[in-house]
Amino acid sequence: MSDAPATFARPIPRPDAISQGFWDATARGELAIQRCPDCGNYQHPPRPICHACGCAAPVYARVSGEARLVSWTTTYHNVLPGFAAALPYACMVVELVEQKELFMLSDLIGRAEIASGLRFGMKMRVVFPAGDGEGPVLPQFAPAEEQQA
Amino acid sequence: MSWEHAGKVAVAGIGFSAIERRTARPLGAFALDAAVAAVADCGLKISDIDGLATYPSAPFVGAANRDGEDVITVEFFLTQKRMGEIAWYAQAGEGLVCASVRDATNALLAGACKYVLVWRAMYVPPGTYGSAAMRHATGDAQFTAPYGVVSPLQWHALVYRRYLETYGAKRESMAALVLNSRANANRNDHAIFADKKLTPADYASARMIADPLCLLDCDVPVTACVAMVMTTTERARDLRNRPALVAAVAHQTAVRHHPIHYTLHDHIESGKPFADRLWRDAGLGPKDMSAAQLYDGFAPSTWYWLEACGFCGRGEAHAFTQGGRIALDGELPLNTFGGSLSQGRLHGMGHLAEAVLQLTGRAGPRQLPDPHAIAVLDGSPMLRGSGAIFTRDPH
Ligand SMILES: [Zn+2]
Repeated sequence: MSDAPATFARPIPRPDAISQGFWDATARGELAIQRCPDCGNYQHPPRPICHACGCAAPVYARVSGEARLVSWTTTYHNVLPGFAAALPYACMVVELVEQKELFMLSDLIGRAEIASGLRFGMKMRVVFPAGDGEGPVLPQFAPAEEQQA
Repeated sequence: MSWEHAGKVAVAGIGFSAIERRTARPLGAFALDAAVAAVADCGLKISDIDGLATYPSAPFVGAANRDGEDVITVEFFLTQKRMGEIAWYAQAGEGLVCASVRDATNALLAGACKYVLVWRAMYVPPGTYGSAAMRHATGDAQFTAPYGVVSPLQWHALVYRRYLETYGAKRESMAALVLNSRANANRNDHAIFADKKLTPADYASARMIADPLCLLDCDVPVTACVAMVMTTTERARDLRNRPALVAAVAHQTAVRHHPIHYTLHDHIESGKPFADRLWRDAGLGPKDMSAAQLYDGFAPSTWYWLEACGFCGRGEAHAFTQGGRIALDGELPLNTFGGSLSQGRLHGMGHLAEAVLQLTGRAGPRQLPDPHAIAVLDGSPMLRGSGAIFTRDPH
């Protein structure tokens, strides 16, 4: 692909006033999700207003980092030039155990052995791989059994 | 109790531009060709048009958004000097182009204008389709793009895997739908694949794009414009061709709270309330349809529409579409013109045009024997869904 750089480059998350708490937590090796102080609803991605009750002051609350695998796909098409060098790559959707349909994404770049063993509903847990030092720490998920081994 | 305005507004004419892939000819030339053809089909002049409606947004990332180059907005026609005085216009933000049928219908019922030009223009840019560099991820993309997830094809792939798992379906079952669409396109001069056959072996060997979606499950990007003229049924009776009547029109209004990833539940449950609204307003049901034109930007969307609209039960579309049931001579002829998969990515405009051509007996070698009602569902049941029921006769 003519528009693909040779080296792998993730888009770098740019924290903003609403998302800052999420990235502050990952820098500490913690997963924190926006939670409503009034009704307890979790929401992700973060929003200025609670979807459940309209409260205007959701705060970040640490979560367990435990999740279940909902779905996954392996991308073969160049949808993002910075990822062309990683093709094909797997990514997955996980549902955090704290709340129904509280989803996060993860990729499995450099972890192809995991992609081949995925099963619906398998237990996953957050990990915080060391990045290249540029930008915030990006949380990823891995099978919970793998981490215990 | 059906809609009090059912059948009062109609599509009076259709116009196609050429349909190409990457081309040096500006998109504006395709749009003018389609508009001129649509008004000529009615026996009108372009200066008779006094209403404009489109879903204008560029369907790929990295667009220049320059009118006449890669988008055709209302502004494009407003600045064409051959146009007459425009009394009303609207640009839909959601719902794809079927939402413009809704807008035009409402304007005509309100008496805001007399003849509305409705169009959708699509453009294929140079380079890899749907691929654009991103250095920083902002807003919601902070939580998606850093994982390499930026494209609707990936979202659809994630939902499709879930469908296959939930209902014990096989991706190989999609071949029946894809091959049916290609066979229909082979009877349609306005299809990019009019002359290109497709075999089961071709489907089985198609390369993966985002598994379980293969290349042939994705629509084919084209540069083209299709336009139609809408007016009141009363006025349409005085024009050149028989009109197709709008029996109902609606758009998806369900709300989702998890913007990072849509789900199978979103697709099927969100489609149902507005599909039900269409049936109620039209006073018709799935069994009354002579054919269905169900959006297929990604082939699984057609399965979801079949289920959301009640053409078959939940989790049954993969089986329902087998054995010739969806063929031109089947129980429910489906995407009789080739769909977006084989006509080309026209964002639902091809589906609308085909409903009109079939109901007015102008579908040529793919004409159904005696069609009287056709459902068009645009977008996906979750993402920008909209739909209309067209009938041949008042009821
Ligand atoms: Zn709340």
